[in-house]
Amino acid sequence: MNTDNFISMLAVDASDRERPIERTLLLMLVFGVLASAVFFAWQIGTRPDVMTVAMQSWEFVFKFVVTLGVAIPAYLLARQAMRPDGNVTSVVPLLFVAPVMLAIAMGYTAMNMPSETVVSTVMAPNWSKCVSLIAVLAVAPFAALFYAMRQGAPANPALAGAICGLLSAAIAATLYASHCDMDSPLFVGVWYPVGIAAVTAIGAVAGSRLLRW
Amino acid sequence: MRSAIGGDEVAYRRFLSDLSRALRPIVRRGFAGVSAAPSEVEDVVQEVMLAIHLKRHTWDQSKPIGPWIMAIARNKMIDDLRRRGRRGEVPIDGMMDFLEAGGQDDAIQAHDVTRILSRLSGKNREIVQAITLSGFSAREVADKLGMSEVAVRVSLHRSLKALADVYRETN
Repeated sequence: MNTDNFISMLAVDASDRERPIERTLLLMLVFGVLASAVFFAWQIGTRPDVMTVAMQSWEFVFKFVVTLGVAIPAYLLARQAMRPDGNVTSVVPLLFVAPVMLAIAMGYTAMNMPSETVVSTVMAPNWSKCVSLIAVLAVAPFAALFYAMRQGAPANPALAGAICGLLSAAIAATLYASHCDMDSPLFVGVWYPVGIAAVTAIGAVAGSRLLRW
Repeated sequence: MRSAIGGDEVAYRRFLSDLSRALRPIVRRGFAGVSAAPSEVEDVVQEVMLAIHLKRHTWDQSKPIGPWIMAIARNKMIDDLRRRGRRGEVPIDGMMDFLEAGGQDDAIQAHDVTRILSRLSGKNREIVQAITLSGFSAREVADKLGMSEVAVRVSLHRSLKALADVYRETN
């Protein structure tokens, strides 16, 4: 077939067009967050003293600073990663803000408590629940974001998948933070990243297989 | 491209025609080291154009279109070079010759697309052939085959997606 004829075929298909990819991504983000929030409210729920700690505990509030501090740059990364000519590196510095703040908070907390309680704070019996619930709550946002990414044309499929994983896990961690009664940055700084990293890694593997276009 | 994205068939056809003339030298240069026949270059040009067509909603309209087109072209050319078992360096400049390019041959036959489309099932193949070989519009194909125009468009769009899937799987 010569290219003139090939062009005829594409031109006839001109009216079949999808909505702009950034709108699809935003739509799927909203959908994923809502789905996960409904599941959370139904099956898990916030901790009973959520209103009191929200007013009184900086450590409780700080959990949301950290999780949203990952979620927002992850969304900006996704907006770049979904395009063939996207500029992912311009957003990367923002991604370091929350981890650095968390590391400082961990250091501050560890220095202000007796050294023998540091280990028991980190190794609180809740850790496996923390990791697994972050993974479970990430499922719906991940599916929605991954679908949106498939409509895109990511320059790097594995990276795009990892970013879907990172963003969905950050959303999951934000919800989970309102349930979990472990507020110490020492606990948060160890186990939240484990859950988020696991989902991110799954995203990278899925992306490298399923996000090619 | 803006009006083309808006669904204007005439503007889109003109855009695609300019695009094919701009892409040909870029692909030819990218494949200079692997001595590709003109028909093979044309295969790649068409593959790039199909990707641009199916992914045109990923162009950020607030930005120039050249880098976006080049990013897609580079991506597809690297896939193709990989398929040939060689890692190629693909030139990233050249897109700005866009409007100067001209006087090339749109009549070169490409083989990949013909081969793949011949595997489509009956009705889908008839529709593609009526459009590409006879130059029919969707309306005319619909009348000829006794289908609705919408059904013709849906079938064509599916065929194009199937074509992209085959390109990808053979990579």
